[in-house]
Amino acid sequence: MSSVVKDTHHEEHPSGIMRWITTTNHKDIGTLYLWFAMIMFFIGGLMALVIRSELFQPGLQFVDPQFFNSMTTMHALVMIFGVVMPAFTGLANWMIPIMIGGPDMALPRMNNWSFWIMPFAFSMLLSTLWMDGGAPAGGWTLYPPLSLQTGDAFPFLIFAIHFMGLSSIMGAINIVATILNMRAPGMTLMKMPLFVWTWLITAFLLIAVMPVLAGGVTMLLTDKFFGTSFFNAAGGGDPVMFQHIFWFFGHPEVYILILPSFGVVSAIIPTFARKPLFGYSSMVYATASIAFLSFIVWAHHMFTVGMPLAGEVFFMFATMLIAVPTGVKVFNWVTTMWKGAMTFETPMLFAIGFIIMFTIGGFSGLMLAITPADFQYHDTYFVVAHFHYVLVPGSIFAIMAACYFWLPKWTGNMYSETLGKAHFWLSTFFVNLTFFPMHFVGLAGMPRRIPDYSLQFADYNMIASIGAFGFGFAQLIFLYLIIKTIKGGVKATDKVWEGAEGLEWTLSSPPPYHSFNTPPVIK
Amino acid sequence: MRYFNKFLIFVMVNFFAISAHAGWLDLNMTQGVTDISQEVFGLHMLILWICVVIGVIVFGAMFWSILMHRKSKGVKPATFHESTSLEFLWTIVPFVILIGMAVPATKTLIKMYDHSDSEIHIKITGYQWLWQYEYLNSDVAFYSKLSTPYNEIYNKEKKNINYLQEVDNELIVPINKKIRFLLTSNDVLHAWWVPDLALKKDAIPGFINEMSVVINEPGIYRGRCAELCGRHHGFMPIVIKAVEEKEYNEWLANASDKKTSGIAKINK
Amino acid sequence: MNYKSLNIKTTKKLIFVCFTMFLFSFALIPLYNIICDVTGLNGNTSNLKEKIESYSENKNISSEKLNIQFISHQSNDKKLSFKPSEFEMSISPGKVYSTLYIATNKTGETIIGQAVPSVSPNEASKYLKKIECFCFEEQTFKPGEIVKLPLYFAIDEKLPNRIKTVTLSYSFFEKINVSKKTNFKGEK
Repeated sequence: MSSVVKDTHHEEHPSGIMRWITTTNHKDIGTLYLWFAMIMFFIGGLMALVIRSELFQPGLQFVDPQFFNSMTTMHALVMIFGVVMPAFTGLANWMIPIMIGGPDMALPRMNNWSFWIMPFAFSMLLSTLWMDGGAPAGGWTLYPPLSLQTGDAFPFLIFAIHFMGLSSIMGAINIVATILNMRAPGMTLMKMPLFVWTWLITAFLLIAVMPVLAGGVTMLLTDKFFGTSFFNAAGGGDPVMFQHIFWFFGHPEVYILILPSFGVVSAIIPTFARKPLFGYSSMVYATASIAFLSFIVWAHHMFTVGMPLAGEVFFMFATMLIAVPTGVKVFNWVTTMWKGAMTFETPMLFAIGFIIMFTIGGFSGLMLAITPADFQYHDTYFVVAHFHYVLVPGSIFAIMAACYFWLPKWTGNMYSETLGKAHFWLSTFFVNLTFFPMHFVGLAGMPRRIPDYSLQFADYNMIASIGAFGFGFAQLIFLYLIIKTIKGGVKATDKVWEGAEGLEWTLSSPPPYHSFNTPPVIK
Repeated sequence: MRYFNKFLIFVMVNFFAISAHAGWLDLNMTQGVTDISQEVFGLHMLILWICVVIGVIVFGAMFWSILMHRKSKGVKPATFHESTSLEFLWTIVPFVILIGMAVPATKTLIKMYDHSDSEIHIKITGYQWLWQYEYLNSDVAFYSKLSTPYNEIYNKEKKNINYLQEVDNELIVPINKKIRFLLTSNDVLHAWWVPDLALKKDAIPGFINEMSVVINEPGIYRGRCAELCGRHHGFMPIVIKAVEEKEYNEWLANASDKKTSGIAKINK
Repeated sequence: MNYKSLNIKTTKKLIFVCFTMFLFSFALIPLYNIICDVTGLNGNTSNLKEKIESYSENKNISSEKLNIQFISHQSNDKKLSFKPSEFEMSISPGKVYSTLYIATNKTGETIIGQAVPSVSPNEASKYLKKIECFCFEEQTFKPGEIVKLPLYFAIDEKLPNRIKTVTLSYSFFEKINVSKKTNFKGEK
């Protein structure tokens, strides 16, 4: 195995904290990203629990409405930019060089930078919680004029977003360069694992839309402090214009959050079904068409702003079209499972959970696309239920599935299957207990982002709050399991899983510091 | 592990049994009191059932495969990994279903955008955090804000049945007449939403939006601000009272004659 | 190794894409305004003066009548009253009409600001031609002054037939110093 071959002059890295600060190694940086996401997951989770505590009963019990709004805003920003995106970038850092048979990421130094920007960006964002005027409370969508009413926190919010964007762009450039240039001989594009494919497309999305967000928030900044009126009607601007810019970024962003999980699931299902992935090329084309469509559907987030009829109809049709490639993916996964010889280890359970609950989120997405019905759903808890179904048992479950799937490879130790299964079943139960009732309160007329509600919504909110606390505590199992596995346990074999296919399983567990110093032979 | 799974199934079954007690009406979208809101409800149910059917087929196949095609049953995995005809089929079929869905949706949408022949014009202005209504055909205008006492909000008194959905001055409109609302805002974005009328539109400072409605049944309909508008976003409800035309005319005459029951005429 | 130069090449290209997209986000503003002017997407009517001759010599006056409504909004009733002199007019497309908005400064201070027009339905905005409008320039209202603000306009006869009512709204925004508007404490 290549673990014996050591590139000595490269291997002398400092130990202790300096190792992590100065590292340019893709595995170290991947680990950093994943731990960062883990910490942020608990911080964002605590914010969610503040929200759910306040909503446990009607009436104002614990927090001021302004602070409640800060919590919804910060929860979203932390979970999107601090958890899902870094976690996927971490997985990409760890796995992509290995999966394509390369030695490391293409731009190791930039890789170090792109990670270490994140803690600064988030310290800046979280520090706003203690600022005069409170943390940003205008929603993560930052719609002006409301977001311009933010106090001292405003410039910090904007620069934090700039830095997060910068980090994501650098990460994305690195990933594209790695995939395009660092593949082992014989690793053609159509031989790449789907995780690599989905990340390649995601990285392009990131490069295309993060600068647009940066531009949009810069305009907010100049509107507030330098007297421009991009979004100010008094000076000839239009507040709706910001929404167009934001969602031009925002909708591709949605797919940035979900496409890599398609790749993860496409790796896990065939492994445990012991059967090759059904329709590999159609998976690639479906991913690419989802990415393309994501650029022409943004205004479905804005059906109620008063667009002309033609606009509404166009965006309704385009949005519904997305269901077609997404459906292809789900059908492919189910067909991959069909007539396999399945076993149900924890990664497989999470992957199946992903398919089922992501599809439920997809269905409510389809319902939201129907413009006349969207007038009733828009900005209600139905929408909250929808995007939490695609993000929590969607993206987050896929990240967890990936962690269980590759944890034996990363650490060299097997995790505890009993704990893993307990984590899965508890998470699944509580995630549904939290988010399913939200469909009902939404349909019954409860708007989102409110700290207090009328009495008819009380029962389901109480159930959702109980579910949220259950889900939160279930994640402590995950944390405990990971620390336990890193510390020791049954040694994992190189192949780990019986049905495992791909270059990562040809390396030792844990893999050598530099993955492939001599390119592997691709069949 | 097995006992644990059984426990979970038990809890889930009970959960759905409790949900059933709450009644279907609490769980679903309101049918509303206008022709269009009924159509919207119909669209909602149609797409819901389409999703349910697709879900049953897909998840059915999946669970069948989970039950039957497991290694513990000693099955040998098949090796097929593509089928052009199958893949073509499941691209085309959803496409056709979607077209079938889009056609009625577009029809309803066109009706929603028809504001012609409106007889009553009301301007709605969103403020942080109350609404202002101006009857443009007469000079009646007033503000409408939350009337729930603070003691109820801060749990010092028992909450009344209309907690957080009651206002000091209700918007009074006649039934069976086309009413056109013109919507704008004074400060930040708001959204005026009454589920029973299937009306929701953003109020944007500096711009006007319009929507129209014909209410079929007299009654009191309650709605809320649906676009985050700051600290008291959750505390700016909408109450609209639909009455017979005669009653409406009497009310309007009184309201423009003298300042009655807290109606402040801001036009004069 | 040769992939190093390849990587630098790829990176340069991608950074270029990034910059282009950043600039694109700013280009969206004029782009949006152009699209809005052409299609009337957001109901923001053009603040440009139309040539009066093109309408006074117009022979294509439509026989169809339509209603035009005038509404107004200003943020503080106690300081300034700003309203149309009449709510509704029945007009023929293609003909020039005039109406008045009346502003009353109720304070002891001078109020400076501008009225921003908006038209509903949005599609009608490109058919509404303003020949003379107080919204073209900044307005100064002296303490206690009552000002009549004239508006000369025409509706283009090409207005689609299905539109029977057009509403023109003016929101009066007071001009505030940027420094006064927000300081770093977020106070107004």
